[in-house]
Amino acid sequence: MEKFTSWVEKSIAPVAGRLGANRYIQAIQSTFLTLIPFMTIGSMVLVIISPPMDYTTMEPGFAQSFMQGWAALADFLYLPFIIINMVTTGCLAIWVSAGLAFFLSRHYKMNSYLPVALSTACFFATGALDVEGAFTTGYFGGTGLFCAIVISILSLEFYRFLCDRNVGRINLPGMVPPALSDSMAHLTPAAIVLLVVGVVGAVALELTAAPLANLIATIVSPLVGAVNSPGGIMLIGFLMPFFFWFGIHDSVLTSPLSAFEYANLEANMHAYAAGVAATALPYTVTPPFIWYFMTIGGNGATLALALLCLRSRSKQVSAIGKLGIVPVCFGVNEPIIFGLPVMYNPLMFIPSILNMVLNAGITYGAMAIGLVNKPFAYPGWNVPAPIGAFLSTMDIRAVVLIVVLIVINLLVYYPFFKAHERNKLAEEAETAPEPAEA
Amino acid sequence: MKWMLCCYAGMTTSLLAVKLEEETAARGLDVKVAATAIAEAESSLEGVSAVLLGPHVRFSEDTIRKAAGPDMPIYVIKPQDFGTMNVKAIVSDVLAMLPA
Repeated sequence: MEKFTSWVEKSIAPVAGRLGANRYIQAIQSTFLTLIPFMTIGSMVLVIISPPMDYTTMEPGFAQSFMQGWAALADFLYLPFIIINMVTTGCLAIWVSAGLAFFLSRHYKMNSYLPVALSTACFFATGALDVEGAFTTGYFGGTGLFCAIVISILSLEFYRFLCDRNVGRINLPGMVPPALSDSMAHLTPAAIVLLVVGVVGAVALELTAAPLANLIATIVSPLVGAVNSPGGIMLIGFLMPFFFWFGIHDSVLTSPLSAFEYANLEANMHAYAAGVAATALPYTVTPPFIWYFMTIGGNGATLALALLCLRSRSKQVSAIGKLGIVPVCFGVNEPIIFGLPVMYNPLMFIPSILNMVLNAGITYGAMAIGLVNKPFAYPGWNVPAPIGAFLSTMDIRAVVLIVVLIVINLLVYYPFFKAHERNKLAEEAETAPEPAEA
Repeated sequence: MKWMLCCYAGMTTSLLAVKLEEETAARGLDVKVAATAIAEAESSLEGVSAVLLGPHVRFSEDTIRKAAGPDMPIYVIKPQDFGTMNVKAIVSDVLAMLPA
């Protein structure tokens, strides 16, 4: 085990660390984190205007009256709420495109609005126009997301490349104010970027009779399929706690994946709004799937572990439990991971990974056979798992599933936890005569 | 004096930041601790006299070092201290790194 640990620490960890510090991954992460309120608002309005049951087919009684009232409310609020849904999650690709440009240009210390506008314009050039040159909105949501990410990054980098090399900067005579020469310096690079993207967009339209966004979505679709498969999600379930065991935050992995998850969620939301049954939605692997069902209490399914800590006879371990239980309820588990610790603790390696893989597999299975609705809404990653699971699926069975998963997590952690506790108790017995440090 | 405390999203660290301020105040120091997401760290260095990294962002030390220059004290919090919020140990270590 020790050889293996030092091998990973020397070879894999730095690579993962560099990836985590990669500017594109950080920009994607910052963009999606910043846009969570949009996802939450956009999906919650949809939940409100979509009563989960059709009251006309229900037995008379309280539930039927409740659903009838809900239906009336939904009718009343439909138009304003669907507008909110359309301009938030329905335009996700636009906001991601602008967001990436914003965070990247800030990283490069380009203190101008132009790069953001330019990158967004480039996304429009490749995803918002049809063969007739008329605007089309089909790629504003999840389907255009990959195009938005690729084009936004490429166009910003291209623009920066041209600016850095002073392409088109005309050296004006000394009397001309520097601001004027600066504004000239942006004109040529912007013109070149737009010319290139205009040609690329036109070629894609001519050749495929659809925007470039369609081609990019087709190219990534095998990957989307792989992420949204039982094998794919169980591999993710393995890698997330595996990395965290080495103290590497899961965002190395989950930031690039978030593009897939959000595209899937938006597709589900779209299908749900169109009247598809919540058990028959196209995708399973979505942000709610990962942050409520898989990582109950944070990466490593640590809610169960925090509960075990709380009841520990070891002073040290129960202190960690007390410190960790509240944050863990909101998906923040650093106190448990670093305090118990889970990180570099040989005893916690197997159960933290096994629990995540089990949670992933069981939830995928339950959703595949229609036992639990598939997620179509996302109230944000730090909502407690049972509440988040319910709101994202509007299915009480999802809460039952969470409870079952927590029990499984408890059982898996128990023997390993007991061994860890025995070690700690032995340590405490040795040092008992000295007064414990506060 | 201003310290910057970094983790991924600035969530856990915001709690730790409060405790660090309490501990430094108890020692009679006037320290503001800004919990910062690591992605924001490079652009928020102004006026910062020490950078504290959570153990899970320790790999960003080089990036921060480049942005902050060779003289900036950068302290990687030990996992155990971070998990147990052992602010006494953290504050002592950081103070030891600061130029007298």
